[in-house]
Amino acid sequence: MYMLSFMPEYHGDVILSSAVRLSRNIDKIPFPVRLSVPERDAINKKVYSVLCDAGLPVKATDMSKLYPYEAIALAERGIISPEFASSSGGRMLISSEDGCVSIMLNEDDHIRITAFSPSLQPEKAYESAETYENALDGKLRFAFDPELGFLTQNPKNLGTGVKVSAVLHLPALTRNGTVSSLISTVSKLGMSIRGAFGDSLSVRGDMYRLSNNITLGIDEKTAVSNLKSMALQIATKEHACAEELIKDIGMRDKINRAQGLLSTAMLVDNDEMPEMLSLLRLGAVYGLCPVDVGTVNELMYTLQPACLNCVAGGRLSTRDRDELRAKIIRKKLFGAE
Amino acid sequence: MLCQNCQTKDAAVHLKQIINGEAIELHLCPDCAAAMGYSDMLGIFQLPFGRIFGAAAGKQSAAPEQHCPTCGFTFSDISHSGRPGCPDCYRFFADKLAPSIRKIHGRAVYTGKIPESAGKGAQNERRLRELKSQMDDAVRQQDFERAAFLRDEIKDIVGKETNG
Repeated sequence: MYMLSFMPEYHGDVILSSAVRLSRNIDKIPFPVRLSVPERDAINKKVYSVLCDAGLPVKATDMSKLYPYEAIALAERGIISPEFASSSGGRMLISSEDGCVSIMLNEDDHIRITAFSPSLQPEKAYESAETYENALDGKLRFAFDPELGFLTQNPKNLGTGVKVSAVLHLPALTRNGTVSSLISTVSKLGMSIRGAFGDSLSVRGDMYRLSNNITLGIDEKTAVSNLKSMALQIATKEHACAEELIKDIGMRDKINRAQGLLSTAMLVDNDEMPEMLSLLRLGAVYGLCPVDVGTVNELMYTLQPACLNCVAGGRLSTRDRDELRAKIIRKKLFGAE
Repeated sequence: MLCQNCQTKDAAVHLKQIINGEAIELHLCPDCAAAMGYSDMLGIFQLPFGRIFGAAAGKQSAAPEQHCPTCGFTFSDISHSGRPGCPDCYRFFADKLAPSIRKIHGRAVYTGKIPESAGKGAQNERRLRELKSQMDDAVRQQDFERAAFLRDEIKDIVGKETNG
């Protein structure tokens, strides 16, 4: 997954990826929740044909053709929202060839374009999303009001309809208790920080998602640069705290134990995995563990239950998933056959 | 002070939020504060729109309800579901939705990208709004030469729009 490549030059030690999501609707057409499946399908066909006509290399996935675990796996990998995975009628996913742009059709809004970039490069993600938006603009009439901006089903997204986010790995700030004060600090600045995986209220593997809440009153580029600036400040703080943290022998012991466990374990369960990978990632970033940080980033996503079902090509028992998870870790991180 | 929402009980919860750069003050009774989701301060950005729209709907008269010409939604439907039925609902129920939208976004004005599909009219509207604001500033600063220049520019744009 290119979007999770390790790029230290863009603060990849702390920030796994950046994303920009644009919510757009077609004027004079009810929001998806008010449309029948054939009406939604007509939108899917129209959007897909406009993108093809614009020469953009895209592939379409009819969500109703996927097994439930395949749809959930896409949500686990952050490509679609959990809501989009939960119901399939009249929904289509359009993906760019390189996988860096995904377009959900008929989620909350008619069109939701999400572009991803590795580490802290939200401006690059915005540029990619805008390419697809521009291809659609003109061919489709976007629902827009000069005072309210882009009209979205959820009034919270009115305005630019832009959601900028970054996924941050904050093991040091979590352990010294700074994260709880960060939550209130960023909320005062119109942003939020939550767990990056699952229900977003619980935090797994010290992974957090920082995102903007303000969509009216600032333009797209300001939203992108504000988020970048906040992510950078958090990353700098995490980096400084992590350098201190790894000097502690107790912490180094935990990192080494995690490495020992993951390199030899025959069963790794879904709760243990993110905690162990978080320690391993911390060790890898600071040269304590000889594993590839980009691979650890990827495994954080792809070792979740539905993703493992996809690897196996069908639903596995919990025990079989734990076995497969352990096997993939040993192979991908430690070269075991 | 009475609760801003129910106007019957005393306000005991006083909130000040900064949304989109604008400070909004809310004075609510404990019941309304809890009903509107303000009991959890960390969830301040998860406003319950259904209940906010619902509160506005409660004040409506018994006159026959108007339906959005595009999707057929009434304002009660929006209040009940917490979401408009289509983009046109925002235009058709603009006055009724405005207070709820202000609760979320403050008095912020849209400054983002204008899509090509919105046409030249939307571009001109933005330009006129900017010029009028600059002209007001110039008058306040008694820079009448600049104000006159801006007035002419406004006239020019309006003239071009009128002549098609």
